[in-house]
Amino acid sequence: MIIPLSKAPTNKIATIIQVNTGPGLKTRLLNMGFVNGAKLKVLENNGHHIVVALEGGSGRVVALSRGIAMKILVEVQN
Amino acid sequence: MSILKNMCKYVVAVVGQPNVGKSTLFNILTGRVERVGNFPGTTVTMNVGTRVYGGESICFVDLPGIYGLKAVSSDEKIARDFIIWGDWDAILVLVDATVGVSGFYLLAQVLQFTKRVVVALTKWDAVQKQGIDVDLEKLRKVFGLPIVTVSALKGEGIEELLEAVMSMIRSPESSNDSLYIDYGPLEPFLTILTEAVKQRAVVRHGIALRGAAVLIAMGDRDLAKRLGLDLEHTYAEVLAKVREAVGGDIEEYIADKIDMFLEEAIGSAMRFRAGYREPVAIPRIFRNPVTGFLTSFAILLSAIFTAFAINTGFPFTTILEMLGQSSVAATLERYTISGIIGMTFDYLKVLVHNTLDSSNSVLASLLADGVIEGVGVVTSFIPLILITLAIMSAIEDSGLGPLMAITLHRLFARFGLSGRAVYPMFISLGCNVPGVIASRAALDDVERFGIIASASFIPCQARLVVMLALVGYILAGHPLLQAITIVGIYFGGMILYLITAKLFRRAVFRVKNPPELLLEIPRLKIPSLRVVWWNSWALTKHFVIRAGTVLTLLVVVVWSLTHFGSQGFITDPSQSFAAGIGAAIGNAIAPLYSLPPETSWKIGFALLAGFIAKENLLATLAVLTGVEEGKTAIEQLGITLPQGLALLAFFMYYVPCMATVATIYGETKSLKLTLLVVAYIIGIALTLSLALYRIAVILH
Repeated sequence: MIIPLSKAPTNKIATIIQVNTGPGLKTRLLNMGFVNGAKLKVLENNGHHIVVALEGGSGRVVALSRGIAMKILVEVQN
Repeated sequence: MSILKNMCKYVVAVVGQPNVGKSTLFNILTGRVERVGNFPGTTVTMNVGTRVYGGESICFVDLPGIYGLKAVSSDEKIARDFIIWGDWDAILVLVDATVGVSGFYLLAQVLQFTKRVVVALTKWDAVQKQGIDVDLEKLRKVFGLPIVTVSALKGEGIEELLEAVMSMIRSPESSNDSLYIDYGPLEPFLTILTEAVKQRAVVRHGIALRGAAVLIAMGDRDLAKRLGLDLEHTYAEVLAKVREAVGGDIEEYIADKIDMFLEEAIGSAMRFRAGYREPVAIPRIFRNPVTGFLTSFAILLSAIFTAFAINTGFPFTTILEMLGQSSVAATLERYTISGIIGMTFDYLKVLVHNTLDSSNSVLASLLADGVIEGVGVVTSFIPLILITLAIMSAIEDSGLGPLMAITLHRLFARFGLSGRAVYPMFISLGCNVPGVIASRAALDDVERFGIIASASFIPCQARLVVMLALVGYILAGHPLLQAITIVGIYFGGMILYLITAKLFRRAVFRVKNPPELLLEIPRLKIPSLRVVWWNSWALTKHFVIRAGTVLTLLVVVVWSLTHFGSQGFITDPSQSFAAGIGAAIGNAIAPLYSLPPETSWKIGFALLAGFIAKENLLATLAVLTGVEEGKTAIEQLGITLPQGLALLAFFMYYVPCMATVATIYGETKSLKLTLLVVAYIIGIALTLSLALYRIAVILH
């Protein structure tokens, strides 16, 4: 199921399919490890911001506001 | 030769991703850290730590914490330029293994430039506690580098790290030895770029230009420009082909390739022992929007109040006065830090007058009422700034900062700011100058400018002293009204801060969307005392050197302007030069508030002095009216309640002090924007103050 990260449910693993932000933000995201195929564990999603842990939950923890999360397409395993 | 090479025999650049534990390690590694001018072409101070090892001095240069080398802000540019053009002998890259493979991304990018690198795996105690098995031998083999594990917390691995750095420095420099990652279809393009760069660039000896080519291919326009390349023009055709070959985005392709390289090469070198790892916990209290918001505010407010209470006794003195315990309040205030400093300098002044008055009263007055007074004012600021900044950096270093920024983001987003804007706002309560500098925490330039434009609406500590004195006089005997007024001024300042940020975002930059938050959340930890001390002391020292000298000088200038007139040395300030300048400013505003001329020139002059530094508002009034204390000085002015309220509003917001204006210019590097901000603030303050005056006159 491919959805924007902003809609990813808590405690699920989401695989990045596409990052569609503007150039500056994209660089920051890529540098932090939001590359295609990266696995994110959704730690918190309250509709305003979303907190994910990279590398399937064992990597760095990053908070993103909804606006950014909307522009990251992920695949969530059911 | 560079300044650095004059200081030390060897220079080591220290680079790492944010939250890698760089400040902590840096302080333990070097012991003493100094600010050595700015990075070339920037206003960013270069922090250098010196260490003597094996009889030879090494300068460790603290480069900004960055996730990667491609420029998105000045931080990356500074680090990138220092690597390409800097006068270093080795580079120390810090990597946090608890972050996993993506923690090595910056290292890979640095290695594409050079292999004169020593890697320190930081927070080694945490790595082990979290049950991460790291195959160090494999890492050393993959990168071909010395890799040292360090724990700044336990002080382990420091000697080994220094030894590794030293042997890297001593090793012969093999030219252009760098990490090679195969970028497949991009290779022909990278070869063209490398050749083009080679034709133009003079870089540090031994730097692999392919590294620069990779960054340029990723779209680092700033670097391309510095190397005289115009990608879109010169290589339009090649670019189109290359983009097609990699499926659109070259930057993404390269980043993916670096990530794939790291996964393949070192992914298996780092394993979690099953069931060992503690989950990254976001404290429950920060998960709930309401409790998170309240907790954040409570933390910040109690931090500010602690700083105030130790220094001025506020809010306890005010509470005691409200309870009718004025004498207890006065005693308490006497024994706060600023009270004790005040007493000390008063004692010195009396001493000078007693010793010198009979022989040379002009000199006595210059020394006592000019020089000692000035040094006293500066000194009284030191503990305040130090304590405020110490508390702030403790919050930041503990990892609470990002959590608070997230919970506050929703509120700030309404005003076109991100949760990061909370720091400038609260730091500005201490002093607007570091507040403006704290705009660097902003997510983008638009937000940053919004913060810079708004910060000086937040009443700083210096204005608090003026505020307390004015409120104490115009609302004497009404402690409740005093408290409401003080809260009102702070509240008003914060509202103005938020509205201004939104206004500038909309009107000046025409950006409608709220800024987006992208913030790493580090694990919570006990803040490192050394880091807190260094951060706060360095900024305080900066204040003493930069602002302190100006301030002392200014008090002396004020003294001479008030003690000299066309007849030479005088005792009556109304005959002085100050009277003339003050009268001009005072007369301009007097009709608006129906001020009497003997008051208006003093206020006019105080406004002028307050522009140079806010604390001078009161100090100048004190000198002009010839009394010791600010409070008494205001009594001497003989102003009405409506005039007092209007003046209060005007004094609070009328213009940022000279130091803040200079900082605004330094941060925006635009005279136009600086003038726009100053004009806007004056306009708002005048409008507010006049409105308040009219309302007060009607009600009074």
